[in-house]
Amino acid sequence: MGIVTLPSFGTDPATVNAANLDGKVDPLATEFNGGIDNDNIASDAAIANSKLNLASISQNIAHSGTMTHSGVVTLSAATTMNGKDFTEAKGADVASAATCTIWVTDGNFIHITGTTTITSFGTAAQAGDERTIVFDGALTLTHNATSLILPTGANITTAAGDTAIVRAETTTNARVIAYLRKDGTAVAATSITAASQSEMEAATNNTKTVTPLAVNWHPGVAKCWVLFDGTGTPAVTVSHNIDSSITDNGTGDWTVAVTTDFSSANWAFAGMCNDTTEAGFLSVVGNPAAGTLRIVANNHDGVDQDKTKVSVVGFGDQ
Amino acid sequence: MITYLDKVAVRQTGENISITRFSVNDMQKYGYSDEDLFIAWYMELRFPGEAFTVIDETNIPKDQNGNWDKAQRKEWSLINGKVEVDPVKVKKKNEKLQNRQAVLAKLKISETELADLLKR
Repeated sequence: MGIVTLPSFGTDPATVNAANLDGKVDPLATEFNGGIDNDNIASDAAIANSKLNLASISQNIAHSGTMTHSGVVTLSAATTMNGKDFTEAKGADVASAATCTIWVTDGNFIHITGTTTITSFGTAAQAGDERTIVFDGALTLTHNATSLILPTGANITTAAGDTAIVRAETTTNARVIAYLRKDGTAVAATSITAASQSEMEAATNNTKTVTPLAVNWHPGVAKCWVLFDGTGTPAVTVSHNIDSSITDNGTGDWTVAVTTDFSSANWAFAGMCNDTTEAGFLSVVGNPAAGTLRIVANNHDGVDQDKTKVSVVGFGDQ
Repeated sequence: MITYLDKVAVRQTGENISITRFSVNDMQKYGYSDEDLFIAWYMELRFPGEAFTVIDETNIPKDQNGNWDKAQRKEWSLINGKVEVDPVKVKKKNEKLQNRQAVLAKLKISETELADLLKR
């Protein structure tokens, strides 16, 4: 239909009766029951919501301007951004609570204030909903394998400045898909505690971690070792927990000292020696003390002899 | 890199003498800055109650490379603040060697044959 032209009843005075009025109006009514051409809509026409049933619009909508809409827009087809960003909104701060509803409608990016433990993020509009959160305080996020799934499977103690991205698994179940500490590190998989000296010495704990310091306390680890040159001017080459001060008692006879003593004189030792010409045998003179060990090197004839490489290892409790 | 002090502690242990070298590393490790204090503390810690004499390390017999010349280590003694080859010990050693050779001569066997016998 083109421009609507009002029908003419003829030259005045015209007689208008039901019959000829119907004849003139019915075509118009029939026409408007169909479609309305753009040229029939004034540029400033305001169409009442009740007259525009968007639910019936199924074709694509191409729009290059700004759309402002205060109601809910439900899209059942893919939304494609063509060379444009998708601008989200920052919502008002949300106070922490046992049920802390983050699925607010004023923005996708929110701060959670307060320090109250959170056990639920409330009810989302639908599964798949997403929020980016900044925690403003220290609180506990309580892990729940169904309703509040946290990255580590364990509770998280937040700190001011930590951030998280949350997705709704269902309307009532939420999953924190990313959690970042303020310093940029991810939340640790598990809380690791270093084993104590007694735990290392017991060698039974299977949940704590070993630090470089603590590894030395394990009974299976050598507490001390040394390699020294016993010829000429005696000198330690390399060592661990053995003093580099060394005592020359005579030919093929030395005393080495343990820096951090064993807890008693009952510790196990082993040693070997050699030089470039022949093998040697190393033995211990007397009983070792908690902090010293006197050793003697012999050649294959049993004669005391200085050796270029003398090594001793000690195991025991410190 | 281990650096040693220029001083050593000498102890009399029966017929022999024991010489303890001290490293700068240990001195620092144990928190000492004074060499003499460190040596005194260390000797009491490692050899409690034993007498010792501190001498300069240069007073120990050296070979041409500057290392301790221990060819006659068993004959060393602390004499007048120096570690030296002790003539008394050398004499004793020679006497012992002569006795040994005399016995071997009586037995009409050589040192090598004696060694072989001892191995059996």
